[in-house]
Amino acid sequence: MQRVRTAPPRYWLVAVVVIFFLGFPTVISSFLASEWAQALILAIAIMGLNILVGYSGQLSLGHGAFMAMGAYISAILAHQYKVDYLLTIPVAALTTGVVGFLFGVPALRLSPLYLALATFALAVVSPSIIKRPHELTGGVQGILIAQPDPPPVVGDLFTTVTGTVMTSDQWIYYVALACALLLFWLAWNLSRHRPGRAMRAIRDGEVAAAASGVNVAGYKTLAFGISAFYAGTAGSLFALSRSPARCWGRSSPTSCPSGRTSGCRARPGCRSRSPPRSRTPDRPSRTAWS
Amino acid sequence: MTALLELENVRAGYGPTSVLHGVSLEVPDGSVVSLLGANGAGKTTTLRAITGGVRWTGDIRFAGRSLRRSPTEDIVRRGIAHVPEGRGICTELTVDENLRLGAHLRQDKAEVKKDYARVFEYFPVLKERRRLSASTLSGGEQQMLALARALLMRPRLMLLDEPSLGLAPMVVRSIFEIIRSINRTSKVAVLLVEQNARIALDLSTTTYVLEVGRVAVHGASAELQGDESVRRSYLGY
Amino acid sequence: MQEFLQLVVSGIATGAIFASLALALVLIYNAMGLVNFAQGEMAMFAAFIAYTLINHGMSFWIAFPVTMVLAFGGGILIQRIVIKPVERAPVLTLVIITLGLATLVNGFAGFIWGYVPRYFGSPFSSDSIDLGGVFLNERDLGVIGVSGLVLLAVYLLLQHTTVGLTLRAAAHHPEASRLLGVHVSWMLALGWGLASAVGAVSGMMVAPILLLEPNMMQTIIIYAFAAAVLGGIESPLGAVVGGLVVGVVINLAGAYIPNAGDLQLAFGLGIIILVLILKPNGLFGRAATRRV
Repeated sequence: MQRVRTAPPRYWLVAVVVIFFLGFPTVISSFLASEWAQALILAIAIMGLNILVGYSGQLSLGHGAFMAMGAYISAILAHQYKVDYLLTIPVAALTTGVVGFLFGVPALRLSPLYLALATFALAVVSPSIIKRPHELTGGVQGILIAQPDPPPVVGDLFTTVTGTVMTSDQWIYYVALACALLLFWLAWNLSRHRPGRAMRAIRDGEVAAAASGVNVAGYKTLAFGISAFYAGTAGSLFALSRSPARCWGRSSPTSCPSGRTSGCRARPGCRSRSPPRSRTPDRPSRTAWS
Repeated sequence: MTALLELENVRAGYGPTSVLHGVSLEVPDGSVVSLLGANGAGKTTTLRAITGGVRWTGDIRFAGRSLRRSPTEDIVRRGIAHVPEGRGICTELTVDENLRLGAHLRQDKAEVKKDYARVFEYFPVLKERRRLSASTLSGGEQQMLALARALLMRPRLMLLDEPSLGLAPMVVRSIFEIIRSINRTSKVAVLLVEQNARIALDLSTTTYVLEVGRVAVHGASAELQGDESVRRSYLGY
Repeated sequence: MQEFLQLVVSGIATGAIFASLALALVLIYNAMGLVNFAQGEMAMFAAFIAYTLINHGMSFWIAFPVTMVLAFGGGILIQRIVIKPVERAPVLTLVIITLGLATLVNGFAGFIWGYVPRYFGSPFSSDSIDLGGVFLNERDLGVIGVSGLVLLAVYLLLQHTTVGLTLRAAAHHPEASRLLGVHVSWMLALGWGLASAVGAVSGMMVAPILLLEPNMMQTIIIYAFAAAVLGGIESPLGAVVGGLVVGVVINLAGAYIPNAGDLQLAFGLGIIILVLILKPNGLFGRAATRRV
C-alpha cells in the first residue's frame, strides 16, 4: 500500500491554478475558451476514470457509455421538459451515478479481463441502443439544444472586467470550471480519507484488504458509482458544449463506441463549428447481418 | 578426468536477496551425487542456477563448456534433464503428449522407440494411462511421468529436485530403485536434491551438504553416513 | 420450416466467420492470458492486403493464402516488436496496449486506404442451390467450407504435430516447457502469427458481405468476444461452437423478433454479459481456481 502523502498541502499552488483558470477566458478568444472547456470536461471524465481504475483497480472501457447517458439525460430534460440546463447537470450526474453503482454489482463477479471485455462491448453497443427509442433520443439525428446565454449578473461582471460581452462559450467554460474544481476537491478528499485508502488496498490485494476488514464489494461498487457520477457530469457538460459526435470519438482514450473518429472524417461538417446543437451518435451503427 | 558438471564459487539469488554464497561442487560422469540440507539452504536454487532459472556469478561448466549466458532451452538441449520441484508436468496435456514433449527434439526415431519401450518397462502404469490427461495421475504417477519424460530426453545428466516430496514411503522406495537402475543401465549421471537424507545417502556415491548457501560438508556418502556428528548436526537423524 | 433452415444455414455461415476470429482470440488468450482487442483490426488490415493484391490482378484464391502468410508474418512481427517488451506487465497494461494497437492499426489502414467503403468482390456466386425445397445460398456454403477447412487445419496443427504440441505446452506451462528445451518466447510469437492468420480468414470472409473499410470489424469483434466467452475463452473447440451458436442466434433473432435489426449487436452484448454472470467458464472452459 502506498503511503498517503504527508507533505502539507500547497494551498498557494491551488490558488494560483484557480486564478489562472478563472482569468484565462478574458484573454483568449471565445473559440479557444470552448476548446479549453472541452479539456476541463475531459478532465472531469478522467478524474472519474482514475477513481475507478487507478484507485479501485477495475478497468472500464465503457465509460463513454456513461458519458452518453449523462449527455442524453441533460439533453432530454432541457429539450423536452424545458428544464433549466444548469439544473439538469446534477440530475444527470446523480442518475448516471446510481446506474453506475448498479452496474458495479454484476461487475464484482468479473475478473479484470472479463470486466474490460464486457465494458468494451457496452461501449460499442451503446450507440445502437441509444438511437433505438428515437422519439426520446432523436435517433440518428440527435437532439438540438440551444447553448445558454450567461445569466445577467455574470455577464455584467465579465463586461466590467474585460469590456467585452460574455459569449455562451465563455459561460460554458466557467460552468465546466466550477464543476471541475468541485469534483476535484471531492476526489482529493476521497483519496486522502478512508474510502481512498480502502480502494487502494483493494487494488493492491483484494484478499489482504478483505482480511483487514475492508468491505471489498461495497467499495468496489462505490468506486463504480462515483466514477459514473463523474462521467455523467462530464457527459452532461459535453452535450451542452458541443456536438457530441466528437465526444464519442475522444471522450477518453478507452471509450471507442462505433462512431470513433472516422465518423467525423466521413462527415466533414461535424468538425466545423456548426450551430449550437447536440448531435448524438452521428453514425447509424451498422447492422451486420440483416 | 574432469567432471561432467562443475560448479565453481557460484553465487545466486532472487532480486536483492542472495541465496547461494559461493557453492562449488562436481558431478563426475555416470555418478549419483546428492545435495542435502535444511529448508532454505539453497538446494533448489543450485539446480535452478544450473539450468539458467536464476542469474548467477562464478562459473558452471557442463562437459567442459561454460553455461554462462546460455538460455535455459539451450542448456537443456546440451543434455541436462531437470525435473523441477513440483515435477513440472503439463497437466493440460495427456500422458502421451507429455512423453512426446520429452522426446520432441530427438531425430533418432528408432532409438526413441526403444526408449519408449524401456520407459514403459520401468513404469507400466504410464502405458496403461497413455491417453489420459496428466492431471488425472496421482502424485507418485506424476513423479514417474516426470522421470520417464526426462529419460526420453536421453540426457547425460539428470537434475532431480526432491523426487520423494509428498509421496508414500512405498512409492518413494520404488522410485529410488528405478533411479538407481536408470543410472546403472543408461550411465546417466544424477544430481539429486533431497530432504530425505537417509535414502539419498544410500543411493549416491558422493554427498554435499548445504548450509545457508554454502557447502558445509562433502565427501563419500558412505563416510558421511558413518559419521555420527555430521548426521546429528546436518542430517537430523 | 424451409425459411427456418435457410436462416440456420446462413447463421452458420456468419457463425463460421465469428468462429475464426474467436479462435484467433482464444489462441492468444491461451498463449498469454490476454484478450487481444486488436484482433479485429488486424483482420481488417489483412482484408485490405487481400483487396490490394486482388486489385493488382491476383485471383482471390491465390490472394487468400498469400494474405494468410503475410498476416502470419505480421502477427509474429507485432509480437516481437510490440508485445514482447511488455510480456511480463500486468494484464490491464496489456489490455490497454492491445487497445492502442487496435487504434493504431485502424488509423494506419485509414491513412493508407482511406475511410471510403470499398466493394470487395465475393469469390462465390450468389446462386442458390435447391436441396429438396430448401434454397441454400452458395455464398453461405462457400464461407462455411472455407472457414471449416481453415479451422480443421488449425485443429490438426495443434493436436497432431510436434509444433502444435510444443505450442500448447509453451502456452500453458512456460516454465516446464523451457526445461524440456522448448523455445517458449518463439512459441508465443508463433501463436500470435497463427492467430493473426486465422483472424485474417474472418476478415477476408467478412469483406464481401460488409463493405471494406477500416471500421469493418468493430461489430464483428463484439460477436467474436461473445463467441469466445460463450465457449469458455480458453477452449479452441469452444470458440468454434460458440461462434456458430452466436451466428445462428443473432440470425434467427434478427428474422423473428420484429424490428430487431438495429439491436442485433445488443444481442452480442447480452450474450457476453449473461455468460459472464451465469456461467463464467463458458460451455467448454474449466473452472478457474483462484489462488490466494
